[in-house]
Amino acid sequence: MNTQVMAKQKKQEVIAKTENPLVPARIVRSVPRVDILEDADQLLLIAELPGVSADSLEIKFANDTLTLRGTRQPDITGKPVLGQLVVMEYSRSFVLPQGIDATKISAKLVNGLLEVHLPKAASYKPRVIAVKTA
Amino acid sequence: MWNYWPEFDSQLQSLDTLRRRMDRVFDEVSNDTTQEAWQPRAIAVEAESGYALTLDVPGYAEKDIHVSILGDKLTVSGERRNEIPTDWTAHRLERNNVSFTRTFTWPTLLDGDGATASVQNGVLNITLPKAAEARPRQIAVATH
Repeated sequence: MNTQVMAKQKKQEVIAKTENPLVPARIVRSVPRVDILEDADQLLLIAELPGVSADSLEIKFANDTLTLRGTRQPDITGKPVLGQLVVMEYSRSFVLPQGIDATKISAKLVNGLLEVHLPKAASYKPRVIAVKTA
Repeated sequence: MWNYWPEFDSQLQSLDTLRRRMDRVFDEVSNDTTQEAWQPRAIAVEAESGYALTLDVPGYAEKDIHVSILGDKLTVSGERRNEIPTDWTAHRLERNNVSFTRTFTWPTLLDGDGATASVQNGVLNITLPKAAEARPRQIAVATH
């Protein structure tokens, strides 16, 4: 058997393997799109994480860096006719400005959007100074 | 060799100028449409009785999405509001698309009445039964 034929057979084998539903799906890394907003009291980060459940999501805040990580298993099973059944690994990090109150960070997941509320520490909030008249 | 035919040189030059102008036009057009060009990621699988399709539509609620079926075509469109409250400052806006339309043509006719659609966790799940005439049929073998 010449090498060309062998290479072809190998290739066919690989295709057959990926179509076998018992073989774990390929992992695809993805960087979610985000909006970052700010008002007087907090920063708000909104990240697109479709199909990610709250328990497969990890949010970490350390050294002024916020890291999001989420895993998503294929939503459907069967013979793909469009696209590929893959395991998605979402991940993205942000360096935040100083003055975030780490103890008060909260997050919720709505409609495939992760909202992370990052409250500002009291000393970083804008203050209105009253002017006294003598 | 080229100098032998100086006219050809100038012709090439004008073609080159034209090409540059066309490039600029295409650049402008593509820049204008980048916001519209976002399309949700879609994955579909086939079974004997029909298809299952998932689309990633983060930020779209059930009421924001319309699904229609005609013959072998499925059209999904969505429109959402993306307004920043007045007292907020935007530092980064990557989710700037507010609408999409995507049409899928399937290998067989679809049974529009039997189709279902639901949105969960920002994922739109659609099940599309094949039309009766497109499904495999069991034929009983008669014995004489």
